Amino acid sequence: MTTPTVIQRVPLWTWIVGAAVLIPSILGFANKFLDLMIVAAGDEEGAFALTPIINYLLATAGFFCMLMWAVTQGAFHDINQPSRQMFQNELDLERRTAESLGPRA
Amino acid sequence: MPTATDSPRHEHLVIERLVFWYFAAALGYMLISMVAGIIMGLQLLSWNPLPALEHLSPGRWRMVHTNAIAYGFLANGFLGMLHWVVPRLSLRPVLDKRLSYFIFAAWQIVVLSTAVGLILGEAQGLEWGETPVWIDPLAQVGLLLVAFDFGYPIIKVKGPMYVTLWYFLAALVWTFLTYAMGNFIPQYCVSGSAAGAVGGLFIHDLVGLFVTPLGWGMMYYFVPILLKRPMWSHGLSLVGFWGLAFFYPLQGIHHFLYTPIPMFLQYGAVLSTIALEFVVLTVIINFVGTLRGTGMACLSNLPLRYFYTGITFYFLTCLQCALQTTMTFQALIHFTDWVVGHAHMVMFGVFSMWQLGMMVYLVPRLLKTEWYSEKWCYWHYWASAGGLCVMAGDLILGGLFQGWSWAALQPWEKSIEVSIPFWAVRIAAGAVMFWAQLLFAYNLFKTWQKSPLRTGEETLPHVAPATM
Ligand code: HEM
Repeated sequence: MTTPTVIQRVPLWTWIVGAAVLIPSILGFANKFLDLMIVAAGDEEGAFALTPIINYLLATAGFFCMLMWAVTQGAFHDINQPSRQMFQNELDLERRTAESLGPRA
Repeated sequence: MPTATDSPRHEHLVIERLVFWYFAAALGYMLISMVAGIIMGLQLLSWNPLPALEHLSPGRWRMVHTNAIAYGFLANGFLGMLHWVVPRLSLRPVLDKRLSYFIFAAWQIVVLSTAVGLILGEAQGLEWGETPVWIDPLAQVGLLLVAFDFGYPIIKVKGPMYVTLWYFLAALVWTFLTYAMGNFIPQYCVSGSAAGAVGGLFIHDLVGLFVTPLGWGMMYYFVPILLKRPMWSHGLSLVGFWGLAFFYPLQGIHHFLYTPIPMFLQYGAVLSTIALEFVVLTVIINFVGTLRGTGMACLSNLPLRYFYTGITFYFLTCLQCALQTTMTFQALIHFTDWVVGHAHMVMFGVFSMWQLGMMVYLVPRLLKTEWYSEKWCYWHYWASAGGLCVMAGDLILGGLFQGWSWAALQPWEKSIEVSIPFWAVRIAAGAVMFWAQLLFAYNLFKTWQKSPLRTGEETLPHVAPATM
């Protein structure tokens, strides 16, 4: 017998918080990127502005790759699992330490 | 995430001695930094305690004050914490124990040479990057070794990682890159406003990409353990992490509003700061959510009290940031003591309180004995948190008066007159905070003296004697 796949519904507030974070950020980023294109095309405001932006783009490109890698590794499938696992591991570590101390502990 | 079923024991994972050494070094630098802060504060009251010695002039002490805190106290405290948390979370020891000892020694040499270099007048002309140029390559190599030593057990983790490990992995890479960007690019590659813009990124990234991820990573580890329950939402923790990753690096230029840096860059920094405010909110909600149903645990448990005090201060500093990032408000508070108040609130109120709370929790475990005086730990908490409240509140208020004085185009001397009472209160509050740290260090020393590890009594592999 196959177990039916449980599709978890994403609560409404998750969408709201997600939108509140993402919309202003995407707008900000797009705005900045547009300015970058203008500067790169020879605007007089100064090509020096490119240095911090290129720094930023390089840094976030790395993180974007990492995010994609995490997605492909299934990091977001059961999102609370690492938290439960970490907690269980800690309990196990403490328990085994207490056992090794015997009645002294 | 690995399971502990067939994994090594704590004593095979954690080099406890090294954790303790890091904590002791961190406290030593904290005391040095505070002495320097007091000397600088007295100078502002026109009472220089060391007038005859150019090497000990307040300008140099000020740099010792900030550098000893960042690279001496915070970095040492974090390195000690990493030695405890990373192996326990990844269930693997660090890359090489000998390398760990080497890093400890090398880092102390870097910090001490920085202090000596600063006193000899060899500071590099970059805020927070004052480390003399000849130390920069050494520090950079040191950071690379740190990244290898702790990165190895983290990348060996199979399956989805707990949020703390994400933060730590990122911090290891970010700190290395941020240090390189700030210390080498303005020095050797770009100049003028470009160097200013990179400097802006650097000073903020140092807080946001070195201290913040290590601090929050640490909270995501210790808070659930002390509350004996997992975080309210691991998903929300990941929102916080990825939000920091994408929005933080953009905002450094909000330190340089109204400068010759092009306006579009300044507005970009303002926008990303606003975006990050939402991210911060998710983090705070998560920690408050985790408290639900635990009664007054965050008050009755002393380490948790430090942690949640820090979280409250974090919320307050971010609230301040929301104001500071607006152009209107920036015009009022730029160059005033408001910013100095903000800096103390975040560096001491948040990150130092977290580290001190962690020490309160871990020291009895490391030394296998209760604190010499638990009462002194409570005194330490109240004097640190109380002193900081007074100091930060005083400077923030004083900053507003300075700003209004300048906005009213009063003569410069008037704004100094206005500031004197605030600077006097800062010294009084600083003295209380200093006394608290002295008491803490003495308590640590007395605890070490009675530790079975030192007295050679029965040595236990790992014990959790702390009742706190
Ligand atoms: C004994 C207590 C302390 C005193 C009397 C003190 C005093 C001072 C003074 C006088 C300044 C220079 C302000 C200026 O240039 O106008 C300063 C700056 C600073 N202090 Fe402290 N301080 C103390 C403790 C601390 C602690 C414990 C930390 C961090 C954990 C800290 C972090 C900073 C930072 C980050 C700055 C730079 C602020 C900026 O440039 O905006 N201080 N402090």
